[in-house]
Amino acid sequence: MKLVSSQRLNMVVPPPQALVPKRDTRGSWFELRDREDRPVYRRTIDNPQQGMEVVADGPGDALRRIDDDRGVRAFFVIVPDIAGARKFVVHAEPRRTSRDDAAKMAATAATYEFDLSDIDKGAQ
Amino acid sequence: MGVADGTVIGAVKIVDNGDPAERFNLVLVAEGYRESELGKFAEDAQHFANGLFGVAPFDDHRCAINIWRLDVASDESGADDPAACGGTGATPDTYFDARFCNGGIRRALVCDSSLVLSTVAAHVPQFHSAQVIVNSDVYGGTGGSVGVSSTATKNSLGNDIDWREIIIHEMGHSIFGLADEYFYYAGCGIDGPSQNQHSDFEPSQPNVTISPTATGKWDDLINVSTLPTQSNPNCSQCPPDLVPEPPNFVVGTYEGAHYTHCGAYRPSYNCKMRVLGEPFCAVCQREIHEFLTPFDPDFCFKFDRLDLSRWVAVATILFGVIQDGGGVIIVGGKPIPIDPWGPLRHSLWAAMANPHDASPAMRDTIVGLAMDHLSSLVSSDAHRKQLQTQTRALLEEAAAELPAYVIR
Repeated sequence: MKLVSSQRLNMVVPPPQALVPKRDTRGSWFELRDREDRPVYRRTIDNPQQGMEVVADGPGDALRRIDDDRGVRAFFVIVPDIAGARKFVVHAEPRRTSRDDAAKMAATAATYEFDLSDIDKGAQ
Repeated sequence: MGVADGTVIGAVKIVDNGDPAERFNLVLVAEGYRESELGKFAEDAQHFANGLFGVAPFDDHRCAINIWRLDVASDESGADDPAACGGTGATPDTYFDARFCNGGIRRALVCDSSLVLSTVAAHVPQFHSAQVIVNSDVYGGTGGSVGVSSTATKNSLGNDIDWREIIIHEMGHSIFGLADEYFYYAGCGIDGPSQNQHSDFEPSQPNVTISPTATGKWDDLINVSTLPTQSNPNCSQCPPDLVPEPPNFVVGTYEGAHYTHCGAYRPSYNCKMRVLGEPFCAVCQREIHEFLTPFDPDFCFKFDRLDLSRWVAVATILFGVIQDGGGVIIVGGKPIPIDPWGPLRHSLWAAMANPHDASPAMRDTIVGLAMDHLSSLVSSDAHRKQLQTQTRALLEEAAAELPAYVIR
């Protein structure tokens, strides 16, 4: 996962969710962290690495997940400008399919960290 | 291909609730429309906006949302439809390179989502969501950071579909961080054993849990006495259908969710995050409501939506709610409390706003609730008791026609 671009904007951001997820929580979310590595903003996001969802024809099972044959996909997040925030962190579950074995199903999320000062330098 | 195959005309705000710096900004992007077809795109975008505001809780946040359409003229109409997937083999030149057949499935309609995001950011920088509408009669759509749907009105079986449902469901993922509530990955009978049992880890999304009591998730919204409300007796299979289906305002824990047959629970039997065409369940509605509340203006009033004859009825309900905060439905002789600020609220309001669209049982139940509230204010004991007796007879009769379910 790499940061492609950033932009500083005057806009309302969504309210934060619980800053620290409950123990044994797994999934995908992003955080802002302060100098002491404490979360100061957090929101759950759709897993950016999950297979894509597609509509189906059968009644009662209108949706399902499939493997995405596109190699690279982009997503975006809106993060607040919080004084004291130093890092932008993305937790992302690994991609899983119905063919995965137990070991792959149990694989933990990867964490991607970005320094906010570097992001600001790249801001448009 | 791509940007060489069309022109970005510009963004038009079709639902204007104020400064984009203060509102939630949803951008609908045209793909596969020739310049001469952008009038159709305008109609399609308006059709979507009308549909969105008919879905709870977006109806309650109508003034929080700006909707934009991004007019993009492609050189040709439609989307690539590879013959390998049973398509026509068409390869029109379109701006965002929309194509069916992703992953070998014809319905899997995708486009260049990176180009969509950069194009939207250039024209509506303060956007919160971008959704692509593809000008094609072939049924298809997919989710991701950018939702994509064709404008087909029939699926490949010839059944009527509402393409707007695809986009609203995908907004549930991409904006509000909601999980899928269905209990298969690729389909019942298709999945392998990895979908039989959920892992021991709690999902981060608010609308699925491994706790049969929904502890820490939606336990405060549960209004049934039996938990789990539905268990799956055979984890090698998808959970069996319940007949009749419990209505969406019945909140409990239903086993089978988050792509697995067992070990994960969803809040209601149905929800838009499980089946298109259903309302969002109470838990998803709460999540969306909490998300959109910061975008609400201090005051929201639309003259074009004011109908005094309906407002009187709604005010009657409100008056009762203010008096004692709830109502009662009698089922099988037992009083069942209903919190009109809870999951039932939208059914109540929808039925009051459009009484002739509501089922007779729902309409009579609501009238009964309102009358019950009002009768409690009558000062004469004799008249109050007379009114209450008649009202409760109406309620009992009407409630008996509502689907059977167990409520605390």
